[in-house]
Amino acid sequence: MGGVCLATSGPGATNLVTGIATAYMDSIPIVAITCNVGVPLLGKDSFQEIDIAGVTMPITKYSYIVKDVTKLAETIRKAFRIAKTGRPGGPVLIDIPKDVTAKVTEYEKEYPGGVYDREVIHSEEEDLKKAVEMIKEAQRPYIFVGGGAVLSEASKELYEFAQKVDAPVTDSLMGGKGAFPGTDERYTGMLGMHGTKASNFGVSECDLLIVTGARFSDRVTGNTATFAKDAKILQIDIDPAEMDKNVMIDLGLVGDIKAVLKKINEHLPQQSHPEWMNKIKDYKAKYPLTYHKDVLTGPFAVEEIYRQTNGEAIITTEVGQHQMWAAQYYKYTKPRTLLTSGGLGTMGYGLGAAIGAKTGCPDKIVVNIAGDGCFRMNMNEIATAVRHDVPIIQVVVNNHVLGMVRQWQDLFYDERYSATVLRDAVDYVKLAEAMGAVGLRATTQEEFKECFAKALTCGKPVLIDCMIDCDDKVWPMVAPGAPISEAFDEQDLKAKEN
Amino acid sequence: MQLNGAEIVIECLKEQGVDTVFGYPGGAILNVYDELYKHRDEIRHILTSHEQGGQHMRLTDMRELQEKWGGSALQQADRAQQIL
Repeated sequence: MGGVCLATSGPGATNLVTGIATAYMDSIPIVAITCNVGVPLLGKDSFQEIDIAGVTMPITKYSYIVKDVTKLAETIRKAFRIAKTGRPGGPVLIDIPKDVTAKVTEYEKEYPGGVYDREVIHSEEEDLKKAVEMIKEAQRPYIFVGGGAVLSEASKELYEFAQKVDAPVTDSLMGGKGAFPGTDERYTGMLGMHGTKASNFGVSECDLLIVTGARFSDRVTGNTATFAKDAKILQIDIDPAEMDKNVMIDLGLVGDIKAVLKKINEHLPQQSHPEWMNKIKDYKAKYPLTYHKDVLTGPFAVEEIYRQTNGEAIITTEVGQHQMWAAQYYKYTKPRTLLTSGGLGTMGYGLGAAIGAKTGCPDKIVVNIAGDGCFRMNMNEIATAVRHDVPIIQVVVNNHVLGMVRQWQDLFYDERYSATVLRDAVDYVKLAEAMGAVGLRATTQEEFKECFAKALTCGKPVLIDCMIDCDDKVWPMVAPGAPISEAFDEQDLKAKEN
Repeated sequence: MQLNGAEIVIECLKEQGVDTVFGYPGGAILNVYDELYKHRDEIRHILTSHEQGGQHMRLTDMRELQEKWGGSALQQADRAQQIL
């Protein structure tokens, strides 16, 4: 069991809010403990007083202020229980007034009891049978994997399921990555705004979409009216609130994904869809991800990181273009190897995430892939990595602009680059050195290769300033709100111009 | 056993098998930090530069440990501790 986050009252507590919201959106279990001013000072606008339990109420599974020391131990135990049960993950916050931390009461040790069975199925047997029939009737099934498959640790069952259904597999950014191996021939890449054409076209043409633990974010569906328009939708999720939330479904199975898939695998005879699988294979061949091969780019850096780490690293990201490149070009084969803020889209998430990952898994190579804009959000944590001797690798994919916002300005705002240009005197190599880390700079592909090789062996926190062009874009793209079947790339744009 | 609130916080974290915490001290939480100092051999505290950074570290530390131990780590931790 990992660590816990502590902060003091007022600004200490409010500085946790973005992190708590990030965990809430991505269903990640965390326990935040804050202290407040003493009970007699509460509600008097005292120095550094804020009602953090109130502030975090809509973004936690449970938030509580403990004013009675006799209730403290049971509240903490309850918080851990809530963080771990039900929809797996999610933040809880306990606020403790200062005088309560000094008051004395009887304490008795109590180890967490009641080992709960996570593999539960809430749906009726009848619905499971219906699901099996739906799969048997389908001619063009597609499987869409979301973060819930990671949280439920359903990789093995999912793999067997995909073989049995004989379907292609796509995933979402959030945790779906790695639940199904990115190197498998069934895998067609991510779905949605920056998904592959194969996945976007395939899902648009399928007649059954089987969804495991995803919530149909707008970044995935594009225009919901046309999303998977020819398909019946079979959704498997632990949380019934996810059913019919963003997309109307045909059948929902409520339960732990691992348990549900196990059950279906037992009852489903082997299916075979050679024609459909060939069609998807052709899409994959016809629409590969492409980038400019002759210069240093974000995709090149990500592929080089993949090569040099043999796909075994834990990758963390910030939010934006580099995040999409990290999702597209690194092949994730195990769950929890891409840690990213999928739901809230929190710039500044990645560096802290990398330090946390390296602390939890000191034997793994941990790389935070960041843009220069995002890196600035929490770059002071390089000092933390150095102080606590946590040798993470920080790659700053530096285009001197807020690349993703600029990409939208390019495509949808006639190149009016309002407030997205960061050209200034900041020298990231010197910055790293100033905080006691190693700073390296790469301006060519060769230099990046050398820098990364050096970073792998130096045993200290390292920053690589990876210089790329400000006009590089993330392709393919679905315009916001457009049907995903209208995914386009650079070639399509050029063809349109001619 | 008679303990104060700060001591109870530390004991409850130990009950849960917590060995690392991320955070930032301040006036209101001083009693808890004083106890952390006394238990520094059992619970590692990582001082961040900003609470938000700490929160993101916390967020992944949990994920990673779950991966590291495989299966459902939290349940296993629970079980192991019950046996103890």
